[in-house]
Amino acid sequence: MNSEGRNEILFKVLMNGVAPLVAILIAFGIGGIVITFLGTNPVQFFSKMVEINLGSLRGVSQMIYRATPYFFTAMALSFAFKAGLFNIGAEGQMFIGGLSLAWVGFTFKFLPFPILFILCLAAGFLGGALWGAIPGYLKVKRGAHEVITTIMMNFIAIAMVQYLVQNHFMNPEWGIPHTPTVAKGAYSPSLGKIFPWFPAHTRANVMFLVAIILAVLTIILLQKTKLGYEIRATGLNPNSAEYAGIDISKRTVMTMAISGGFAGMATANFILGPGSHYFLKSEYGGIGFSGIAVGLLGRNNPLGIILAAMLFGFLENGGLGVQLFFPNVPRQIVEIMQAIILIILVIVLELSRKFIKRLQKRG
Amino acid sequence: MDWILEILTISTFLATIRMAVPIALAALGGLFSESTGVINIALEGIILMGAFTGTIITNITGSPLLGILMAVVAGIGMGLIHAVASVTFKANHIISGVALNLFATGTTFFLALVLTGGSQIAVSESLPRLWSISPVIYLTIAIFFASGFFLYRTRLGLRLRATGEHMAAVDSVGISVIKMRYMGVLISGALAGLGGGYLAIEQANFFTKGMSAGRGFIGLASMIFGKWTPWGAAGAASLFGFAQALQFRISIPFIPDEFIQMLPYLITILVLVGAVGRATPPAEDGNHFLKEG
Repeated sequence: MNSEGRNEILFKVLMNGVAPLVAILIAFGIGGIVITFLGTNPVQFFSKMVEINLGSLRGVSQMIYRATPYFFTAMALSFAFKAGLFNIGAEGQMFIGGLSLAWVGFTFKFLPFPILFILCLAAGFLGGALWGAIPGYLKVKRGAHEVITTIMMNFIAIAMVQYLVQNHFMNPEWGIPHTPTVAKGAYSPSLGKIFPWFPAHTRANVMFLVAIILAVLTIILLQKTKLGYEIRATGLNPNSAEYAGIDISKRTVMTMAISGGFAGMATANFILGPGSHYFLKSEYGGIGFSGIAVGLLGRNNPLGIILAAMLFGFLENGGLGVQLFFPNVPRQIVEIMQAIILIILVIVLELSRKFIKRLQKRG
Repeated sequence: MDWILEILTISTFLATIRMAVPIALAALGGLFSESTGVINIALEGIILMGAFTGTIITNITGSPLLGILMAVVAGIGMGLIHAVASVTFKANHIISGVALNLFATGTTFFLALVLTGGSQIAVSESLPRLWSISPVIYLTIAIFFASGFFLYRTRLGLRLRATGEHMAAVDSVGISVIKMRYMGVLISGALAGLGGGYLAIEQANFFTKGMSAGRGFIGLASMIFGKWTPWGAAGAASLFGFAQALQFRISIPFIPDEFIQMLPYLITILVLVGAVGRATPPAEDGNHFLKEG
C-alpha cells in the first residue's frame, strides 16, 4: 500500500475511532477524579452505572428511552453539516415541532392508530422544518449567517411555545403549563408490545425504531440519490457546485428544512411514548444543545450518532439511577462529563488533523 | 392609561439601568472577542460561572468586593479555556462556545448541590451603595468610556481591531495574532464574568441554577444591534434592559410578556437581514489563523 492510502486509513481511524474514544476516556477520568473528591469510589460508581443500564433488559430499555431524543437533535446538526451549514437551532426546532405534533395529537382525536401517530410525526417534522427553513431562507436571500439566526430563533421559539401553551392550550386549573393529552391513536407503542422478548411496559418505544429507520434512509438519501449528491457537493465546495449547475440557494433552504424536521420529531419519544402524553416544555430543555455534542461525537454519521446517543442515554439514565446508591454525588456530574467530551473531542480532532498533515508533508 | 405614566418614572429608569448592566457587559465582552475575530457564544456560560463564583466567594469571605473580583477571575478562566480551544487548537469557535455553556450549566448546578445541598444560594452581603446605586453600575459606565478610548484611540486597541479585520496584515507587521486573540477573549471573559458577579451579588442577591437566563445571548444580540461598537452595544443593551424592566414592573395591555421576551432576538434577526440598517461583523469572524510554511 502506498503512503497516501495508508495515511488516509490512519486519518479515518484517528478521526472516527481514536478521537471520540480519547474524549470519552478523559471525560470519565475527570468525572472519576471529581467523584473521588466527594469521597466515593469512582470504580464502584461507574460500575453501578453499567449495572443500571446494561444489567437487565429493563435497564437497556430505560437507556434507549433516554437516548432516543438525542438521536433526532444530533441528526439535525449533522444533516446540515453535510451541506456546510451550521444549524445550532435544534433546540427551537424541537420545541416548535413538539408543540405541533402534540397539537395534532390532541386535536384530531377521532383518528385511529397508526394514522394519527404518523400524522403527529409528520406535524413534528413540518413544524421543525419550517423553523429550520426560515434561517436557511434568510441566509440565501439576505446573507444572514445561520449560526446567529438559529440561536435567535431558539429563544423566539421558547417564548412563543410558552405563550401558546399558557394562553391557548392550557387549562388554568392544571398548575403546570402543559397541553391537553394526545389521543390513544397517537401513542407510540412500547417496544415490549412489538418484541415479545422485550420486557413489557417499558418506556423505550417505537420512536427508537423510527430513529434507526431514519438513519438508514438518510444514508441512502445522501449516498444514492441526486439530491443527496447535490447536498454533499454544496457542502464540499459551494463554488464548484454552483458551477456544476446545482441551485445552491434551493439546496440550502431544503437542507435546513430537513435538518429542522429531524429536530422537530425529538420530543415525540416523550409525548407519544409511554408517559404523560402531553407537551411539557420544561421537560425538554437542553436536548437540542446536547444534540450538538452527540452529532459531533457520532462524527456526523447516522450510525455513529446512534452509538453516541446511546452513550448520552447511558450517562443520563445512569445518572438518574445511581443517585439512589450514591446520594452524595449529584447526577449533574454527567452533564459536566458530556460537556467535557465535547470540548476534548474538538481539540483531539484538530490535533489529529495536524498530525496527519505533518505525515503527508514528510511523504 | 396609568401604565404610560409608570413607564416615565425614575424607578423604571433605574430598573432599566440595573437590568441593562449584565447585558451591556456581556455585549462589550462579545465585542472585544469578535474585534479580534473570535466568536464567543460562551458569554451565557461565563455569566453563569461568574454569578456562581461571586456568590460562593462572597459567602465564604464575607466580602462582596472579593466576590466580584473572583467572578471576574472565573470569567477569565472560562475565557482561557475558550481561547485555548479555539485559538491555540483552532477548534470551531461555535462548538467550543456550546461546550462551555453546557459545562457552566452542569458545573454550577453540580457545585451548588455539593456545597449547599440546594440549587439556590442566598448572597450574604452586597457592596455598599453609592447614592443608593451599586458601585458596579458606575464601574460599568467607566468601563464603556475606557473601552471606547482603548479600542479607537490607542495603538493596542487598533491592533486588536485590525486582527479581526485582516489577520495576515497584522501578522506581516510582526504582531502576534495569537496574542491579540488571547487578549480579546480574556477581556471578553473578564467582562462577562463581572456581569455575572453583578447579577448575583448586586442585583438578585442570590445564585440560582441557570440564572443567566439568556442574558449572554441578549448581550450578543446587543452587540449585533449596536453594530459592533461600544456605544451602539450600550444603547441596545439599555433598550433590552428597558424591555426587561417593563416586563417585571408593569403589565402593558394587549402585549403578552412573551412577546417582550422575544423582542431582542427578533430585532437581531431584523438587523441581520438588513431590515433595520445593515450591520457588518469583523471580516475575520470565526476564521482560524493559519500561518503558511
